[in-house]
Amino acid sequence: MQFIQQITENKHERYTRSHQIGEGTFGVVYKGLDTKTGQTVAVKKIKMGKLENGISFSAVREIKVLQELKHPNIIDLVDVFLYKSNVYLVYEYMDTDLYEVIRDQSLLLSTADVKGYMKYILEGVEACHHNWVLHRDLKPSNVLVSRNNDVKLADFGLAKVFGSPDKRYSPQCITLWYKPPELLYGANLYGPTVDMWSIGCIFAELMLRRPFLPGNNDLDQLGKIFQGLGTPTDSDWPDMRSLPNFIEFDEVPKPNLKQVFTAATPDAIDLISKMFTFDPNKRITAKEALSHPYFSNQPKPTAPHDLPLPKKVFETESASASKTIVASTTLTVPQPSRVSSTSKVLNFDDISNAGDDSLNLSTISALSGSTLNESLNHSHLVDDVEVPDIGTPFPYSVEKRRRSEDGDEEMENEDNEFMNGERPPVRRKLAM
Amino acid sequence: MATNFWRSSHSKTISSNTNTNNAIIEQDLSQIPPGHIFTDKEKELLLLHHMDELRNYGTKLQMHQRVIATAMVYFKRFFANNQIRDCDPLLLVPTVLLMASKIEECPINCKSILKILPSEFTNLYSMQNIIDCEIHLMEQLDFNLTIYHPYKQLELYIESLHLENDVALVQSAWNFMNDSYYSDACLQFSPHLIALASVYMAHLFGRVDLDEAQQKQFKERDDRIKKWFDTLNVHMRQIGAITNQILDLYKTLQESRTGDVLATPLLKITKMRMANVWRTNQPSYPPQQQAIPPQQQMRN
Repeated sequence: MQFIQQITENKHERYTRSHQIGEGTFGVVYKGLDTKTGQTVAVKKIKMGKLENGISFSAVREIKVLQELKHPNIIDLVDVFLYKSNVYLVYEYMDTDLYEVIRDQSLLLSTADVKGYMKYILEGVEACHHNWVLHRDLKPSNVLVSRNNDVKLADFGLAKVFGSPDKRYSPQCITLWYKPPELLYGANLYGPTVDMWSIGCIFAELMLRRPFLPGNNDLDQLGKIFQGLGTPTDSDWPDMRSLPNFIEFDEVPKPNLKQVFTAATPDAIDLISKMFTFDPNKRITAKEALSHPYFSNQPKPTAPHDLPLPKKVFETESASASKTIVASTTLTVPQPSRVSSTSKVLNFDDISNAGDDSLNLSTISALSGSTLNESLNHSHLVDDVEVPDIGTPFPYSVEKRRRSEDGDEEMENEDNEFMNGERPPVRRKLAM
Repeated sequence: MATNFWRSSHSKTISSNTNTNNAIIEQDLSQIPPGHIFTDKEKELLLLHHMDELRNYGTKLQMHQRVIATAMVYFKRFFANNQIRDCDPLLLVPTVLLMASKIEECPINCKSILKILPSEFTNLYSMQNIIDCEIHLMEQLDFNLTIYHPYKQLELYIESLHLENDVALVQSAWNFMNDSYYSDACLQFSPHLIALASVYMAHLFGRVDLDEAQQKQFKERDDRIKKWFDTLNVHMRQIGAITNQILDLYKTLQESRTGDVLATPLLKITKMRMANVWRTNQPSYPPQQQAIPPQQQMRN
């Protein structure tokens, strides 16, 4: 026992954590630091609470899948450790996600950029499918983007191993807007092409800059799909009538996708229509999609380091530039009675401060807030780059409300607070 | 799961040395009451006894053989790195079953496991103990939870040898493979070697009781199997090692089931249970009195 405890304690001391950066399906995510390598990491604390059956199934799935899947386009699970009977997953830190990229009106996504994002997403998905894993929750907010412009798939809480013949799966997966019609019809035998429909939705969203098929419930979602893509005929999808929840819809003629995606090139239209094939057996696979002429035609997909990113990402960078000033002003933060090595916090971008005892976990949450306050007002990006005016109202209000459950809106409110010039309070609840 | 076994976490855990932490453990032996120390032989016998129980409970719960096999590997791996005094095997048995059922995607309810456990267990432990132990188990396994099994390979080999119709041989190979989970072979060798060894053993032991006339009858088949093994790029020494392990296992099992060698370690373990060795240490893991975590310090 003695020996086991030693390992545990060493591991949790290695990582420090500061403020909350998001809330996933089964845990709260904090920004943290690996004190051994000086790397910024994301630490996900898995909710334990009162569990009837031990650690949650989705957490087990995520650990199991990510321990085996190592790919440049899949989030890297750096470490897993236990602390006070909670499981903590340590990931590499990613600055933002595709949801933020699509939502940021000031960003112009060129054809090549869309192609770039699609290519890296597809490569990640191809790696999953090659290893017999279905992601089952692909959506823009699960595609993470880092400052180095790595595009990585995350959130494998719904991921499932497939390949066993005749094994039934639950149709209750994939976020509604990205759900393929066969799942809406209640299919329980499905394969990797369910992920391809979601990718088609992401592709459309990248081009339109708004969710392509935002339904309110399963039935409405089907209606939206058929409105957007026309109703499938029996020759399009011969097996549809055998699905458990099949409902006949009023016939809608197939719209010309060229008129929906006005800016898209013909090869893009061809690829997206192959992703939106109704019959899951005829739908394009990740491997086929990657060898589609869309990716080899001009313009070439943008290289990872050239992909456009929301300004926010660089603001945090400029925040760290002013860190020395802030560090000296936060010296007054009350010191805990027992300062152990765990409460020492290194600055995220510079380990030279490692020995500075005055910085501890509570200072960092105050610190990140106040620097954000300054940097929001003068970011070098806003000063230098002309922000293109798109001028159209942004149809994201629905999405915003939906996401507020995940704590995103709360974050936005706090951003506004910073804008008003108030010093943000130290978030008590984050201090646990 | 992954298509490539050699890139998986399972292949990284394969090592010829099954007791890697011996050195560390021996250091603090002096601080441990002598009643809590088990000899290697005693440990082996005890583990075999609990493996039997594991299989019984798994069958009672109508689990797939695959799930039971995964649970067995977890059990083996845990005690390869730990001593009996680190965790009560009685508690670990339902825990590995719960964990394995989750990993193999056929989850069972913790309550239904509790239902089939004997009063010996329920008097001592509760559901919460299993749940606490589960996290502990995951950590001890280093969160490498995907286990590869030789079932698929065995089927492929049988097919490649054109032996599908030889029911006796296939069944015998299958039995050897299932029995191999009782031994340490699953920790030391990759699944394809275990599958090969089971085919080899089934071929070898299928002939033992045959008279000369019958042997002649099987000559063609034996030659084919021999030739097939020659074409493989596999060291027969490894196959032999697995064979020996499984044979040793049968000997030990026989010993523990007929004689009273199991009595001493079982008495020891009962005494430890009576003295609440694990209840105070293990089930309430992690211990209540730990250093104040950084999060709490911040509040002060």
